[in-house]
Amino acid sequence: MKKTLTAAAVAGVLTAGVTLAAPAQNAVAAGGTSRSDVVMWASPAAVSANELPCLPTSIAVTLTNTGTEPVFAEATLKAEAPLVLSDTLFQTYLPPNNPAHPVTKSFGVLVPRGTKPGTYDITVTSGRHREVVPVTVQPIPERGPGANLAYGEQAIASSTHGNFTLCGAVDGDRDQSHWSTLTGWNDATRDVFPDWYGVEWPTVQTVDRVELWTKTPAATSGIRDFDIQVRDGDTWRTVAQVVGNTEEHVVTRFPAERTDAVRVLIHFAGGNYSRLLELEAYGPQ
Amino acid sequence: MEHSSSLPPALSAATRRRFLTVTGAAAGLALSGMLPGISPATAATTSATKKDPFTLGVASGDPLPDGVVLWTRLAPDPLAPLGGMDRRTYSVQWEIAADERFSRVVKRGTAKAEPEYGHSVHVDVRGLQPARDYYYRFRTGGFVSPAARTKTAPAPEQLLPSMTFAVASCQAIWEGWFTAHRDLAARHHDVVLFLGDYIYEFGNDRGVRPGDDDPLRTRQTVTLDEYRQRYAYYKTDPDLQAAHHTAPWIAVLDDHEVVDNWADRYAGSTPPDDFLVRRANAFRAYWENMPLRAPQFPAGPDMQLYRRLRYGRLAEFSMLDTRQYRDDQVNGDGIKAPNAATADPTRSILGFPQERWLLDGLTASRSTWNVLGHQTAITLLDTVSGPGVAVPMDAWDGYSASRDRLLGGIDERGIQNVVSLAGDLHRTVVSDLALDFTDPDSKVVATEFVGTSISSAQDGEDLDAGGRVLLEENPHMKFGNFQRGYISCEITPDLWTSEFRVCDRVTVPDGTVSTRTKLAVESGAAAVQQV
Repeated sequence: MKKTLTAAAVAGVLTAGVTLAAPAQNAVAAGGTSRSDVVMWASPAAVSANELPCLPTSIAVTLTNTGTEPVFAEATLKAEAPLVLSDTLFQTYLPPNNPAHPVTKSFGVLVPRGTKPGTYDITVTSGRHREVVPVTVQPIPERGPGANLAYGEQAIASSTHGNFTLCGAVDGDRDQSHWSTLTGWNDATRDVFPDWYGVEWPTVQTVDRVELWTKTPAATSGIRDFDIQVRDGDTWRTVAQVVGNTEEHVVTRFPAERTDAVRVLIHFAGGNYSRLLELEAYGPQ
Repeated sequence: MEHSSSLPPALSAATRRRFLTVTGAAAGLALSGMLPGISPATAATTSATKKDPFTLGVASGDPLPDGVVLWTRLAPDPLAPLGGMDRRTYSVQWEIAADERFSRVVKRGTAKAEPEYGHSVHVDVRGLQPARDYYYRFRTGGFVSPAARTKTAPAPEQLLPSMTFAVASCQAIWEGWFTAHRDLAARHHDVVLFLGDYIYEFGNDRGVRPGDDDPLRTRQTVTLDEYRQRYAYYKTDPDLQAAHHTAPWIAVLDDHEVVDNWADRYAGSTPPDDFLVRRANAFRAYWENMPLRAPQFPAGPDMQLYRRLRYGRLAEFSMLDTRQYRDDQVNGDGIKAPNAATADPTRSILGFPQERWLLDGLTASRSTWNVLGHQTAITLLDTVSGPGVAVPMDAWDGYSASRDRLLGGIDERGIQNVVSLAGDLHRTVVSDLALDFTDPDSKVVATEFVGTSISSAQDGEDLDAGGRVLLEENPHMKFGNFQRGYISCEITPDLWTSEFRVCDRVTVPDGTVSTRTKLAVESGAAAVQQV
């Protein structure tokens, strides 16, 4: 449970770069007999997204209780087709106000491949209160020369620990302080190796360099012995090997390969699990 | 019906007022933010759901000499939001009969399945005969639930010649099939004690069941909708349903019904105020999904879970809650050497009010067997070979003053035939509970059977390296096993017999179950013996 917004945010103040929609009083209580003291808002007020499968766009729905009695409250979400939400329901206990205790749940917004650029609405409803968050779907940005080919593309893994997300190491976030709460990939099989993590593309790419960021301190918590592999039909072929790594950032170069997927096959890592902050792939410039 | 009443979802206005008076205003919490125009307290529809709503089976629990709680939850599409229900309140008819064919129905009535309670139904049937088998079922619209067996407790002064019960815990669904439940169900015990970790708040995308990589199975449950959905997923398992359908359950929760190793208001680095919101969500979903009575209905983040159930003069079950009132784990949790902090007499695993309630209740007991049904091991668990000692901070070892007060109190008050039943460890650990575990000649005052997990920890083996160390380092420990399974117990006024049922495999759906061993305790002699 992340308490993401403070009481100041209720007033619609710009907090941490997130624009808040104006909160509104939710007029319906259980039983329909009295006004509820539940306030609901969604943030940000508008989002943009594209089809990249591992660049999840999310919106946060917050419920807070301005009354003196505890309540359970709910909000529901509906996305305009073809957008898909990771979930459509939010029900939670809300302790009494003073101090304010907003409770937030995040909802992933998935843009299926083939979605036409344009604006699609996500409607958030709690009681009689309704908010609309417009999602602007943009074309996938053209990758300039030297761009990271893995960014936002479909991640693949031998397993992913329940506290992490599969996309966590292709999301462009290498900040160690965001480990586990926002970003990063951690396999699910403690003390069992090998593990693997990679990215696959809908079309063939040319790749000659893979850059990895592992968990620090890398000597005790990072990946140590691993192979870089490219997919060749149904099999994986090793194009580079690293043994005894102790660095956070590892750059691996190899002769250019035409492939639809790359992965790192991890033979050993410190701290029981394989952990990556980010995997990046590049082609010749 | 005169002698029966449903729990909060369908309490009459007068009863509901009483209920609120007893348990505090917060107990009446309903879900706010309902759709406009819906007034669930008054409008119960008799119209049918489109699909069979009884996908989660039925259950019964907390038997009394004259009654039992009947449970079901409507969920035509169990993993969908709201279980596939709309936001209307549904009328659900229930009936309970003396025979399997329902030709002698002894009670029937109508309950409401309300959206505020996840469309669960709890009926507290009274007016039944003691120590009798009964059969019950629900219907709504044109759909009829599975029929299930339950059994009442004996009369207060009745001394049954024998009774049977099962002891189960820890069912991480991605780690194994619930083969042990299938075996348990076939035995038609008088009652099943479930000692926690009914669900897990997380999952694993490489589990043994098809579809285990579904994010809905692996995500951390935090909100009420997420906990409700996690229960729905677990409860779709046919073996688990069978275990509910053949016997009443007496359930307590452990950590994973909320989050790993929580202690009172503490869970990892989560701020306590945030954790209490999660705890309130978890407790609400727990009550909704278990056959529990109104006094167990949570008031926000608080739930009166510790309670006592009497089986006449043969047995009394003190069901404990070692999570909600405990002091936080010391020494950073994990497995550590005992020290001044673990022995601190100001710390408690039960909280002092519950400690008093337990010892006073045991003192007042007029039953032969005094059973503690709870979460984790009371016994000393030294886990390191050789001279060092390292014990789990989360078990009673991390609260040894509580252990000393309990075992010392049992000895001082001359309480006989105390048997501790617990889970949590994912292994069978049978121990004599002595006043001083470091002294082999110390007086044994109670017996402990820690049951293994239903599925958590996958297949396991008869005795793993950790189990061998435990047996070597803890002479008071008499038996260990590291397979999955449960304990099937039979007690008479003279003898307690624990039969350890173990699965050869749980990572495949067609594992087989066999008896690993039987151990016994004679009335009046706390030491464990081989049968």
